[in-house]
Amino acid sequence: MNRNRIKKSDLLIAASLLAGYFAVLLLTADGVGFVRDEGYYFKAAEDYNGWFVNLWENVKSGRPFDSFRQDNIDRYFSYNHEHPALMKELFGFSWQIFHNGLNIMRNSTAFRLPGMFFGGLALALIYLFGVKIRNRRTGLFAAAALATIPRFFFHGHLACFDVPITAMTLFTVFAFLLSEENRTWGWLTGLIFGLALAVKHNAYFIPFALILYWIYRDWNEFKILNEKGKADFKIPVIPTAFIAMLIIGPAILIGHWPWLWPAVGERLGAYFNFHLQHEHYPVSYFNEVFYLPPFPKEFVFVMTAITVPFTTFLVASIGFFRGVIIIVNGWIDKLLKIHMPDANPDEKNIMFLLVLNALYPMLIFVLPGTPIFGGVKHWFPAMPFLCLLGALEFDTLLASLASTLKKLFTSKLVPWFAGALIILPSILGNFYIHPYGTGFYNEIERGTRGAGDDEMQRKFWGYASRGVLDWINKNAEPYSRVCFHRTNWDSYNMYIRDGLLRPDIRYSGDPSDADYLVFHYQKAFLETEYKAWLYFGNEKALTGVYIDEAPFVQVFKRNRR
Amino acid sequence: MTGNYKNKINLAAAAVIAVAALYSIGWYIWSPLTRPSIEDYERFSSYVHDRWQPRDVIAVAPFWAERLREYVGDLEVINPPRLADEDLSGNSRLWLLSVFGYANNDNLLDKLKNKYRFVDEMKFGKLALYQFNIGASSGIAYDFRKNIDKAHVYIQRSDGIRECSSWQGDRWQCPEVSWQNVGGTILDIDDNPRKCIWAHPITNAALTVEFKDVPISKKLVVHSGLAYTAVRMMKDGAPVYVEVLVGGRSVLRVKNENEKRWNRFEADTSSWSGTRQNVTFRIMTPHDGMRHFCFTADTRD
Repeated sequence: MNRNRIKKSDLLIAASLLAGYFAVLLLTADGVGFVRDEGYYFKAAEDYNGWFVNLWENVKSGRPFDSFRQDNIDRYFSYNHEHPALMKELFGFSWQIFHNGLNIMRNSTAFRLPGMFFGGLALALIYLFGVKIRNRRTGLFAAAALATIPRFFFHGHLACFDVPITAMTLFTVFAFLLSEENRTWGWLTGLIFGLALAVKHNAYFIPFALILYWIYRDWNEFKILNEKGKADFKIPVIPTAFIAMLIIGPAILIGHWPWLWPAVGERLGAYFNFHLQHEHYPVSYFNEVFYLPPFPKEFVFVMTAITVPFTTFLVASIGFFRGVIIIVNGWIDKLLKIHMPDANPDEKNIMFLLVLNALYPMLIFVLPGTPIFGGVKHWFPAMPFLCLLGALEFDTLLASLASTLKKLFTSKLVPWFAGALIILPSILGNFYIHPYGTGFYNEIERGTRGAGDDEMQRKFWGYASRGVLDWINKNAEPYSRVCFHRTNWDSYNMYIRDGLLRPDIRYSGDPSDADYLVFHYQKAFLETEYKAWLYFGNEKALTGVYIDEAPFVQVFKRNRR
Repeated sequence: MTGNYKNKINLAAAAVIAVAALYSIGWYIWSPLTRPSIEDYERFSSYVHDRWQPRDVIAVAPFWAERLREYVGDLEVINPPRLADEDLSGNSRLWLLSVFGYANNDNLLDKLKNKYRFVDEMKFGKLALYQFNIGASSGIAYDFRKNIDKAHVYIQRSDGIRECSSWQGDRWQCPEVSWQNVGGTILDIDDNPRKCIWAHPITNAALTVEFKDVPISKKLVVHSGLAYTAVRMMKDGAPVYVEVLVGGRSVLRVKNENEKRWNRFEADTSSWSGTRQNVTFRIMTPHDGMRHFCFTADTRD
């Protein structure tokens, strides 16, 4: 095996990418409203943090075990136990340090910092992955491609789990790749996988992908019959990483999550059951709203094609298909023992690893019963691998062009220019949509205009209220009751705590008893708007958030009673 | 694969990516240049308000460009995705606001010109406004939706009648469950906000809505349909039947299938024209699961 060595300078570049992306996310977070799930996680983070504060106080007073009583654990950890605790614990620690302790930022920003860190971590890891399997150019291109996917950029701001699990999936796979050269990384793979399990349940699929990779890689070492045709079952050496994942993974999942401790089996069962029987939320897709399965099988692929910036998608797709050809080449090699030209066994193995990890997070959503709400974010773990495939393709094409168009490639700036040409549309896409990233549709769909024509889901999670808070603060009468529609109470509460909304503004759950409605434009919830027209006695919007004239939210006001 | 052949394929792939990149960059530069300004909207709003007449209606293309509600939301605004198919016979003039030149998409402008008399075209920066005369409609003599508070509502079963006599501000509430009521509402039907009378039918019964002393014209027009959510979520939902009686005589008996559709039905009432009669609507279904049914009706010449 002849993979590149990661140099100290690469680690420095990776750290810079992490810090740089973190800084960009932090600097652009102000306009990003609180999504519904953040409302819940803010509350959970405070609760969970409360347990650690309580533990510290109990330690100081010599009664540390009081914290581990079931009633005490349940008091702090019962809320939002449908997801593991790690991210919420990190949100809570960050809040405790940067808001409560140092008081240098808002509550919400402090909660969000860990999510931003994982966004940066994903970039650092993808860079190192690219360096490992090809070169710096590959790593940098992959990092740039991932960083500028507008939906990824949007989610990178949030105190949620989708970007963190993307980073941790990439980390686990990368650690496994490193474990092929260094056994210590085998044990570290177990640790990283455990942390991934503690972030979100997507991690349960990682071992299956790695086992498939192992089978592909060591295919010729698996035996069922010997040369005489008699039964002789043999398997190659089981990677240390698998053993580590099996032992350390569950230990971290259980160990980090106090809620499980009083009844591990029963509570793990409840956790799994929640996700196995997850409810469905309505999704608008090409002029129809899908409420229940069966969902369109092509949904995941079409959504990827129209929500990843066009040029990134194009180069990744070409890279994906080149990868498939290389894998097929590899199978011919393994099964028929025909050695194809350019055969580099390790390249074939790596391509298999990348294609598999780019594909399986999407294939889960082809299954008829998988909830499709949330769209692209639920298969974010595929994105780094798509970007790596795109980056390999970029590098391959540049190398090929450099050999055919030698005169053009005399300047070292040419590869940079080529990379910038592909990435620039993604950057422009972010300027186009930020801070309303869930509404990003690429140039093939013609942005929000095409999304409007096709009644595609432009938003969910009720976060776009943020865009009209200044208007409400300025115009709403004292003590007005505002129905924030899809914005939940916890998010509203955080707007007030953070000084983004006037404290006298009261929360209303329904237009029937509200003075104002902040209507979040979603086809499935149109009747809330119509209800407001009836109750308010008018259909006149007072302000709104629009991108290319497509509404995200509109504000309506009741006629004087 | 020979190296030469491979290089050609790579060159072609690189060219495709480069063209795509240039297209994408161009799209992001072009897109903001086509957006109307706030001043464009203000000028358009002022123009329309100055010339607005009763029975005018204003539509927008594309249908999702709802910013116009900030400027003309106090007027009669509609935004149907299929404007040319809309029944506007109750209106006298149509104003069409075109954003991003959408009036020219799918031949919308031509279809409207074929259907109505084109009057004028105005530009307000990047907005275009078109005006049409709809026709010689003498208007609506009696709008049943607007008079729902005067209706007599009851459920007729084989074992007798149950009165829905509790008026709750905007609806007649029937005694058993909350969804059994009749009143004005707005529902998403056929991708449009339809102002109509909520009349959820009941299995093995006739939900009956009676209007007394209604001025009758030549026609009685009924529009009806099922809410979008009901059609989508109850894929095998039962049809809903409507029977209309004028002066106790049945003039219309129609079926509303479980589909995304705003049906138009018409009864000839010319033999009663100029008189005042009782008009009765009977709404029925073989199975009332999620039959979010709504109708509106009027008498007109």
